[in-house]
Parts: sequence; structure tokens; C-alpha cells
Amino acid sequence: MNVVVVDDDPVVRLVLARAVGSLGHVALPADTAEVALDYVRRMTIDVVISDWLMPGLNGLQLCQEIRSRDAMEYVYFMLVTAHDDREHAMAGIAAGVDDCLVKPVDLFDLRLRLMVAERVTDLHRRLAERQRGLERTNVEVAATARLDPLTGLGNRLKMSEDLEVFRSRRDRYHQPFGVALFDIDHFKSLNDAAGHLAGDDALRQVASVVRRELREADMAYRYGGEELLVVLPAGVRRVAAAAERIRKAVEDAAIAHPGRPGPGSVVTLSAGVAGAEGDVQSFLLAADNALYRAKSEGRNRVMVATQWAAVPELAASP
Amino acid sequence: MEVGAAGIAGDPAVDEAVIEQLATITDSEGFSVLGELLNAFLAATPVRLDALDQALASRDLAVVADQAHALTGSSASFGARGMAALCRRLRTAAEHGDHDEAQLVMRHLHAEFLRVRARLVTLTRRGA
Repeated sequence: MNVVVVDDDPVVRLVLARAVGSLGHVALPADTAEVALDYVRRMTIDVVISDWLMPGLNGLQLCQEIRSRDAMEYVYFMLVTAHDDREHAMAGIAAGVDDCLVKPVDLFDLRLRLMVAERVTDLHRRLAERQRGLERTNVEVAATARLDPLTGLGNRLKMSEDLEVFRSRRDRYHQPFGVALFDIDHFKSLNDAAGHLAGDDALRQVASVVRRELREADMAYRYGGEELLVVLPAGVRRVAAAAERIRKAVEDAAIAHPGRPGPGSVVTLSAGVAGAEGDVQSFLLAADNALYRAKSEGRNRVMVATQWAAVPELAASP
Repeated sequence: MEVGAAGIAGDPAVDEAVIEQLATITDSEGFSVLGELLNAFLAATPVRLDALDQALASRDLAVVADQAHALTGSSASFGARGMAALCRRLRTAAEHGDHDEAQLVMRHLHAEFLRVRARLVTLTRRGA
């Protein structure tokens, strides 16, 4: 263990430090509480053995300083008091001291107390490690539970949570946002022709193209089987423009679609765009209706809910 | 109760059980460091006694109390019980502002340290 030995008397300090070293520990001598505090701040200290009465901070104040730190590592604190000094021993233990040694320190006693200290600090260390592990796991579990394993996009749970955040920001700070609901065209025939693994692969590739087209504040989720939802913090015109950019990027990516007639068929997307007016259910429904229109008007295009029309200047060429 | 130099002269100057304990302290190579510890005490104590003499001469009883307290701890660490007792008495006298008593105890303390030193020097020569 690393043991700081604090005593303003150089002879007593030397005896204690040598005794601690002799028991197989690393002894760090300190002539004041301030020097001891410096050790505790700079390195991992397992035990502090401190005299009570010293110029500057006394032993009790040193203990209080150490206890007030915001650190997980536990420092086992031993206070050295005079033989008849029950009052100080009591006050020390009450203030967070772990153990009191009587002056002059009996070496056999010191050996026993340090064995206890080692056991207690070891226990504290294992607790702290377990605590850190649990916190890490919690963060990982929370993230995993919100991830779609196939596409790496957010799942429905994440989508619902994020939409609530977008909605409350809109209500509180009047920050507009909009959604674009994408659906892979003729996905069923792709699955039928090439198998579900090929379908999964196409979905993964589409998701990665979509992710590349997003900016930091934009979010994408797997909404259903072959449906993806993109949320952008922008007005409906900019959302429609972004949806059109994504539609074109996927078409340009030329992901093979073996289920469609004719050579060189590629995967395309249809999209329905809606500005986020009202509650979540209603604007998702509006986007879904617009998507239905895009499908019925020939697919591979973006339709905006409010106008029930294709994005005019950006519409896909036939 | 009078605890003069004569009163404690019958007791051993140094409790050798304490020295035997100190002799078990070893360095990283397993050698006893008793010689180093005894030398440190024998070198530091005259400095403390000088500081006490000066503080008494200038009637600075707060310094006397502090120095006496420090010397209590180190002398007790080496089993010098008579010295430790005299130091406690000196501190009490200083805290009560009893300069005459402090001067008396100081003389006893000098004498007692001579006894302690003689004993410790013998022990170091013995190579304990």
C-alpha cells in the first residue's frame, strides 16, 4: 500500500516511515498536513497515518479535507493520539477517522492495524470498480436498447423519445422540425427474388447512404420493415429538399435490385414529407399519407403532405 | 509528587523492550535500521533542548510548551519514559505560566537526557 506518514517531528516521522516500509508498504513522509494533502491529490494513497497536533492544519482537519474530496478512491485514515486522549479519539472517529493509534506507536499494533486497513481499502477498491462497471453497462444497455441491430439506426423506442424532445423544443422555443418517411420501392419483390438476406443487405446499404447524407442535428430511424424515418430541425421546404437529396443519393448509389424487370435495375426510395404540426401521431400520419401518394404516383419520388404534391423543381425525372 | 532527576534515577533510562521492537524494523534488504533511528534521535534531541533553553531564557512559554510536546513524542518513541514524563511536566508548567517550575524541570530534563544518551550509545555500540 501507499502510506503517507504525517508528523511534524522528524524523528517520530522517521521511525513511523521506517516501520511502515519494514512491513512491506511504500512510506511517504510528510512534515505537514498540506504536504500530505498534496500526495493524496497527486497519487493513489491507501492509508494516511497522521499526528493530531501540527502547525497549519491538524490531523482532524486533514481527515476532513480528504473526506470532502469528490473521489471514488477511499483513503483509510489513522489518527495518532496521546495515550490518555479519549476526547480527541472520539472526535476523530466521529469526523471520519477510521482508526486511532496511541502514541508512542506500538509496532506490533501498527502491523495489525495496517492489515485491517489493507482489507478495508481493498474492499472499497472492489466496490468502486464494480460501481464503475455497472455505470458503463447501464450506458451501453441504454444505447443498445435504442439501436436497430440491422441498420445501426435508431429504433422505434429511440424515435419516440427523440420526437418528444423535438416536439417540446418546438413548443418551448418555436424551433420548427419536419419528418420524411422513406420506403424502399418494390422491396417485397427484392426479397422474393434474392432472399431475405439480400433484402437485409439492401436495407443496410440504403441506411448507410441515408446516414451519409445527414447533418449532425438530423436523425434517422428504422420505422418499420423497409421504412426509415428522418427528422430534421428545419421548416418543411428544407426537409423536402433534404428528402429529395437522400432519394437521389440512394438512386445514384446503384444498389442492385434483382426483383425488378429489366437489366440494371437499382433500389429506389419513395418518401412522404410533413412539417411537424400538432402532435406526433398526426404529423406521422400526414407523412404516411404523402408517402402513399408518392407510391401511387409512380414511386421513386418525394411528396409533401401539405400540398399533396411532388416537390416541383426537385421531382425525379420520369 | 516530586519527580526529580533523583526520583527517577532508580528506573532504567530506556525501556529496552521498546528498543527491541525498534530493532525489528528493517530496510528493503532486510538490515536493521536501529542505528539510523537512534542516531536521528541523538542528533535531534540536543537541538530541541537548545530551543527549550532559549525559549525559557526569553520567557517564551508558548514555544516551551510546543517544544516540550514534540520532545514527549520522540522520547516516548525510544522508550525514554523518564524523559517523556519530564517533558509532559515541562509542558504543563509552561501552559500554566510557571516559569520557575519550568526552569527546575528543564535542569532535570538535561540530566535525564545524559542518562538516556549514555544508554542508547551503549546500545548502538553493541550493534543492536
